[in-house]
Amino acid sequence: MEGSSKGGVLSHLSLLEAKARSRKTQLHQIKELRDKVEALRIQRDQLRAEIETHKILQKVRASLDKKCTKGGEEEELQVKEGEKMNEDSEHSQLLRLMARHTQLKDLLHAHHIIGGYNITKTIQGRRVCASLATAYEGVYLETYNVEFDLKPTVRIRRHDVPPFIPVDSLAEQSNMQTDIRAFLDTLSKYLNGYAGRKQQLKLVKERHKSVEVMESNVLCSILVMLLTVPGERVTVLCTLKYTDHTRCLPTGVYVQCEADKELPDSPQWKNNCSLLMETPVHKALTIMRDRWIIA
Amino acid sequence: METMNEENMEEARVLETQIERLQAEVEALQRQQQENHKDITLQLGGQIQDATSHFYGLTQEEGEEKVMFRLKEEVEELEEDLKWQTKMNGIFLNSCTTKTLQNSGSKLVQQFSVSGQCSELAFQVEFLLTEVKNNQQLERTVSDLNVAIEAGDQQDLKDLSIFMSGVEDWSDLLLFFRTLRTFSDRCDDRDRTFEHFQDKYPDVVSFLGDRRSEVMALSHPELPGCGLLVHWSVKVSSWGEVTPKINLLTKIPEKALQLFPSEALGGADEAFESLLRILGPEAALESVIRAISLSEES
Repeated sequence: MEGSSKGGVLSHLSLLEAKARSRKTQLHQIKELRDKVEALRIQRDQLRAEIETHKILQKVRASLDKKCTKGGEEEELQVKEGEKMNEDSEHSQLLRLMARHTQLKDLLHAHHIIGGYNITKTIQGRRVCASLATAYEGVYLETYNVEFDLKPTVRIRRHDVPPFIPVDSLAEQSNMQTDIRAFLDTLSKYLNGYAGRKQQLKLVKERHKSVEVMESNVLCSILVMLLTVPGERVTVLCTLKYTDHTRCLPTGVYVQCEADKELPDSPQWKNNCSLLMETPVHKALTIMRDRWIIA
Repeated sequence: METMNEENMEEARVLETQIERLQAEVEALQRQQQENHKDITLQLGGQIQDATSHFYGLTQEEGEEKVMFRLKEEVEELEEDLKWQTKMNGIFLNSCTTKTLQNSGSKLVQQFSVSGQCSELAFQVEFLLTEVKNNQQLERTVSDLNVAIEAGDQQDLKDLSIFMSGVEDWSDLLLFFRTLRTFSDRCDDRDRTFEHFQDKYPDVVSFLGDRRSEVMALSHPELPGCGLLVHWSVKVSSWGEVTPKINLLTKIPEKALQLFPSEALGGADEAFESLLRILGPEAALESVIRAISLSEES
């Protein structure tokens, strides 16, 4: 008996405890739900605010863009519109700043996309860093960086341009002290020439499995290929030389054929050589393949 | 205890429906926002975000002045940066508008429309920029390139327009701007040199067309019928290589040549070419001008 009454008290106590705990969890759950409602409300209000601001900003930005494209003549009209906006909204100055902010961001982004040098100043204007973008036929490739000391004289401090591009002698030849851009323009031509030739070589390897690349160098200024004439099983050794390193087109094309010494002088192969002189190599090979000249 | 539980249950149900409703609202707003962002690239971050929050009274603790001050500071920095890029790139951009055509996580396609000025040439380019994320690498490609340029002097642009149609075929946006810049740099070189000689030898030098003329006429003030024409053109190859070309043409009446056969004038063009090679354009032109003005000083 003693034992059962003891058990009754204990079980009653544990029942009370369980009830209290469940009430606690229920309250906790409700609090969580309330918090979630509050968080969602804030998110919704933020989104509404952003969308609303976006709408107004779009209008301000559009008039700003119009002003920038049309120039001085329209300015007077814009000032009048601006005054009107001033009456409409007490926040107009803030809005104009925000619109200009988005416009500046877009313009800076555009400079970057069209291959601008992305100049950044460091250490109180004593140094600048320039990036040189490369691309070939719309595909953006490597970007290289050059850092200059501006004082006491303009000098290249460091760069990540490949060693086979003669950065220092290009710097010596250009008038870097007065015109950094002239030097960057020249260097950019060399880098884009290199990037283009390298990309062409990659495309030749990808697209022309039957063409065997026998030799090429790091600068991609020489390319020796073994071409196969279909049917006759004759192979032709074709050498492209790129002596102008700013270009993606060869300055010389040479053809050799062991089996048929006359072949290089045939009108068809003379024609092929001039095709290779005027057309990027991966495209010239495609044309030659389509004409059944090579396999 | 039981009633308390029911009250809780009731509140929980109400809250859950509220959450559902708010979630649907937020989703709809997010869709609308995504749609909006296609038209204007609004980077809602940093100071702009603060300004937006302030704008709708979401943050009370900071006054408009403070938000404005910080935004102004950032805008000034951007203005300064843009000034630098413009100076260093030699290209002034008027406007850039973008529109997002596709945005599916790993692939982003945007339509760009950029207009601006490179020295005296106004340009407008339109293209698609595709960005694909591939193993943490970002592949960027330009396609559907469309370029147009405008200049006061139409004959200047004959070569350039052949090159431009090639550039559109290859979608080579960077090449277009490299060539455009070099072309206008070389034109500026010529204009500067021509202007310099006009100031220095106003009696001898004259121009046929406007200031950006390709031809400079040289004649002695007392012999207006005879003279030399300097034709300085800037050639652009179909691959975008820019080369200045300077020719010397003689303008002597037939009769004068018959009466005074002059070998020096007959071979003027060839002689000028070697002068150019040795002295460079400025010094070569200077010596020709001196010769024709019969200047004593040397």
